[in-house]
Amino acid sequence: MPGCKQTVTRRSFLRGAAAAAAAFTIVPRYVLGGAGYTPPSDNITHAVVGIGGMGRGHVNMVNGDKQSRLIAVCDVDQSHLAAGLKMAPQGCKGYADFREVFDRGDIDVAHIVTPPHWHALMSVAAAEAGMDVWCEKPMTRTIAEGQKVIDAIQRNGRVFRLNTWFRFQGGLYGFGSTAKPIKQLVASGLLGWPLTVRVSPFTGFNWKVRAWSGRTNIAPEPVPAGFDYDRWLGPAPYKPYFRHRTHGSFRGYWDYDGGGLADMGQHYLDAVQYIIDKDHTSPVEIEAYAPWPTHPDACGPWGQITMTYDDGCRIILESGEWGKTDTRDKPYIEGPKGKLYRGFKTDPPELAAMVSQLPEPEPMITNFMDSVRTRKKFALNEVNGNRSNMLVHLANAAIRTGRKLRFDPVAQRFINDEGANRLADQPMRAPWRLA
Amino acid sequence: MNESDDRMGHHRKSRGAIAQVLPATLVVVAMVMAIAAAPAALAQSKVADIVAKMPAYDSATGQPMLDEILKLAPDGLKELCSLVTPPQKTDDAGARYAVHGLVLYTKRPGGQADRAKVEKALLDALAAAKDADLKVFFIEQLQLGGSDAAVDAIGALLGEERFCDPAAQALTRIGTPRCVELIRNALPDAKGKRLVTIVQALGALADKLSVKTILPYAADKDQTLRRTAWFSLANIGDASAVGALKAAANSTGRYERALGTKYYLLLASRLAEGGEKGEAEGICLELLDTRTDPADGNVVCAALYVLQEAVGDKAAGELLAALEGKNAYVREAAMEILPRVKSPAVTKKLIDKASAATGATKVALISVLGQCGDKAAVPVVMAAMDDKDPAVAAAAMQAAARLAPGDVLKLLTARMKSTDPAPIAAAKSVLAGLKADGFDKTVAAAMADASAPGKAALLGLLAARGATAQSKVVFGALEDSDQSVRAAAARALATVTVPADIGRVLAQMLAATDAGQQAAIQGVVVSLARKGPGPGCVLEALAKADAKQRPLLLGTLARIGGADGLAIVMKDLASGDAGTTDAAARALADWQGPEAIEPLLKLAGHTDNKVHHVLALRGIVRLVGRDANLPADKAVAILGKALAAAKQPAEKGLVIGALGGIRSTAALKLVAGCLDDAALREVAAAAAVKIACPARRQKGLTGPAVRKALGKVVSVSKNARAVEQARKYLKSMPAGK
Repeated sequence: MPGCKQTVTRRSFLRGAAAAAAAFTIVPRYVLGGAGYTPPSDNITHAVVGIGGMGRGHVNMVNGDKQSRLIAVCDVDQSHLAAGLKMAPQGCKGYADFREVFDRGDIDVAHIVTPPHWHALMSVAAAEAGMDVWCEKPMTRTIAEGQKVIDAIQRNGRVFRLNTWFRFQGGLYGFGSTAKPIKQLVASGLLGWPLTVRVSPFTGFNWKVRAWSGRTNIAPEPVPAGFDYDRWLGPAPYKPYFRHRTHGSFRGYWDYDGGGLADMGQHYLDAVQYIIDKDHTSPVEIEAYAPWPTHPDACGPWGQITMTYDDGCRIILESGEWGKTDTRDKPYIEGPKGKLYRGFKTDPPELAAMVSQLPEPEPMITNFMDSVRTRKKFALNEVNGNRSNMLVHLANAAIRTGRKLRFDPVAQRFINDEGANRLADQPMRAPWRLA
Repeated sequence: MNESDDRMGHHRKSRGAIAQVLPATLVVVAMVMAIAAAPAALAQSKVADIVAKMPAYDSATGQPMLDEILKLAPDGLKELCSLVTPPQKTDDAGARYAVHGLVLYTKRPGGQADRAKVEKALLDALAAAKDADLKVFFIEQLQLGGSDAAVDAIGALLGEERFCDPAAQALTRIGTPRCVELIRNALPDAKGKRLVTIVQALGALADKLSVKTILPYAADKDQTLRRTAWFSLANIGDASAVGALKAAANSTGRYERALGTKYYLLLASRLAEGGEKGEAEGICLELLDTRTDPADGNVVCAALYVLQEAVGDKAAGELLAALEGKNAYVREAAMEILPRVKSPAVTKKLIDKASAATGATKVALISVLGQCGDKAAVPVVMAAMDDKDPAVAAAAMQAAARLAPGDVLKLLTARMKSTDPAPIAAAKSVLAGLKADGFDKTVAAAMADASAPGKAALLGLLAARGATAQSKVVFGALEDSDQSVRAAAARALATVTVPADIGRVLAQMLAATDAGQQAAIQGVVVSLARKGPGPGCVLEALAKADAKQRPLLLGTLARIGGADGLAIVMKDLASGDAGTTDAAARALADWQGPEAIEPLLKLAGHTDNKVHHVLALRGIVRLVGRDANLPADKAVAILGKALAAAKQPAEKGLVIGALGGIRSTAALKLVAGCLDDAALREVAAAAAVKIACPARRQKGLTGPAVRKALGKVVSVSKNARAVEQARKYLKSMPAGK
């Protein structure tokens, strides 16, 4: 055991004596300095891992931020990597293996823009290598991966942002309003409690279910030159290559994602979770109405999913692309005392006008670079992001099992349902692992 | 023919073809054999039929279908598994749906008996499968549905390169002691990628008996094996691995070092969980002592987390030191961790430090005190609410709201006496989120001594809570001498009143002198009337109203709607008194129910008053547009009459615009009739295109009338966009349509 003198030294260090030169609030890597680091500059350094369509969007985003500098891009497909390097500024290096990127030690923010089966793994690795993380949605591929990301981010003192924004910015798709006034109305209690929220094309939200369905009876194809398929699969089970399983259409396969629900789900449901104040918990009962059984490999259509919280609040998802529709002409949010319809029409009508009088929601940090600089949690971070991510996975579990599921939001496990729990926590293909 | 029909047809064709090629001499023998094998054949036919219908419409229809297959076990299940073929050999999607469905279905609570049948069938199919991908499919299904009964068969595949990984994953997921034993037994012969897989699986299953065998791999030259061994040794949590993982944590190369450190800390966590807290503490303190490079801030954070988990309150010294540190990473981590330390001694230290601190450090300390939940912190936190630094004061208010909501409620409502908007806004912001007993009553009581801006804030709080029991205070505030208070009270009425209050609210509406306040209260009357009482109260007031009050009451009736009110309006409309008629016409034009459409058409057709004429047409267009249940033909008929009644081009344009929103040939004909009128041509062309051409998710109209109308648009309109749309659609329209 260390002695008293050591304790004093350690605590002195923790108080910052050893880092006296460090700025009080801004501590990105370039300021921390140290041997082997580039001299301090005004830029926050970024790496983008995964240079598909969304990855190129991230490259553009970093390029457009005057206080940021893109210094690494990474992809397992040489053609994607070449496209990324073409867009990147001079001096930016290209990599095929993300571990080499994380080995550099001069990157402040890692953008994880791969398919979702990599999201948790790379987020954890980035945090452990001392980077902040900007991760695409959905946050993880399974329920169990979520807590691992939280642990890694928090234990390593990192900041994390999930790449959806509707809780703090932009109109809620076809609903016709931002989330803020809806949050104010709900928080005021003027709609009463518990609430039912309907997320369907009729309330302004298209699910793209058929667009993101997988294919069955697929014939193996030769792997294209320049594409490292084994590294693309990474932690996912090995399956013979078929183009539709990969770039641009991977969302249709359970091994990598979760169909249209996982594509749009976190965009739509994160805002709902924020509005009805469920950032800290999850539904306790989930029931789906969908074609059944599901294919073991390919995601398919679904009709309606109802998720109920322990206080009676419900979120009803309706695809409008399969089966009956119940949400036509129904309100987006309905409570015992009032209703809120698409276009911010209310019943009673006076409620809409009252919003300007209601208290403002708690302020959030909505610029991730501010989070990086101040070390304060981003508006959509690893904790609330995990909860909205879980909504997507709970819905898919109900679709796949075809039965009403009960869920323990604290243990984050299904109750008395080993089948559902096996879907929620799946081992990874070696040598990939989250721990 | 859909996909299912196609599959069923395929099976029928195969069996028919076999029958045709059988030599006649064998037919008798075959028939005898068929009779002997009748149950199996029946199962085969039934299973194939069910498979052809997969997936079912929903689980309610799919589960009975799977029950049918289960009833045919074991033959039916065997037949089902035989229908799964290597990728693309045949269309086996239906069989894959059914097998996967059975695996998840029988994993339901109470499905044990069926589960065993399915597991047995999967194991038989696994043994029989020759194709590697097919074998992997059955292993994956066993990973989801298998039990200890399956593990020996899966374990036997650990020695084969292609199957080792799926087998190891399945065994890891099933996770029984026998799984561990099977994987451990596979370790000595494993090489290359199989060795990595086996070592990882043993780590995931925390097999202590494998530590000695795995330890040498922690220094292996092969990077992948070395890193995997680190994980396994750490996750197993055996103290004999401390040295190996310490070396890993001190590796060169940033990623390797980060991994090694992560696993060194994971070992500390596992040791602590196993009761070896001293060892765990030693690892954490060692990292805190040695990772002094500021770039290792994340390691310091992680070590603090694990240290607190391992030794609890004993970590307070390090955490408090970190809280005052200059490294923001570490300070934020300390703020997150400290509230987990529930110790009076720690609270006392935090209080002492908070009392002496200033600026951001004080904000951090006050926030932590709020999260710790120790009431001993209440005095220092309450005192900080008056700090000159607004950031400290705000943090203190939030902290106090957590620690002592009742005290904060009294203190902050008392601050509403101030006339300074800043403290009022700060107090209101905290009160808005405060959960305290007697909230509404305390807020209402504070109205008595509050300043005007304070009263407005308190009324806002009552409104936001829908404090109906405190409506008396809100009614009282409607007579306040300050206009801003009266306005806030008028707004608050919407949520603090109930239908029984409608009489009082109506009286306030009539008494209000400010137009904005009156409009707000009118909204409340309308809302309350719609909740149940209806317009009776307004009608009663109308009976006694003077000429000044009448327009307001008629306007209120218009917003409530209904036949009773409409009758009064119609009577006023025919009164002959200019003022009364004008008020009635305006009320009619604003009417909220479809019952006003006919009277409005009548008004538009007969009135000489130009204003009333326009108002009537606007009213018609508004009512037709808002009634989603009005059939298109009726809507067109109404608008046709309105168009006939319209006199000025602007009036006609209003109606044509409304017709443009109805996708029917009748609407198109009306609109097309206006294309010859130079004053209406362009609005009619735009409406015609909107009615007839395809739009998002809507097909275009077809027929000779459509072709004629769009042709006319092309020839007469100067609106390039409309012409282009019409031309494009005409071109795409099938001949003869």
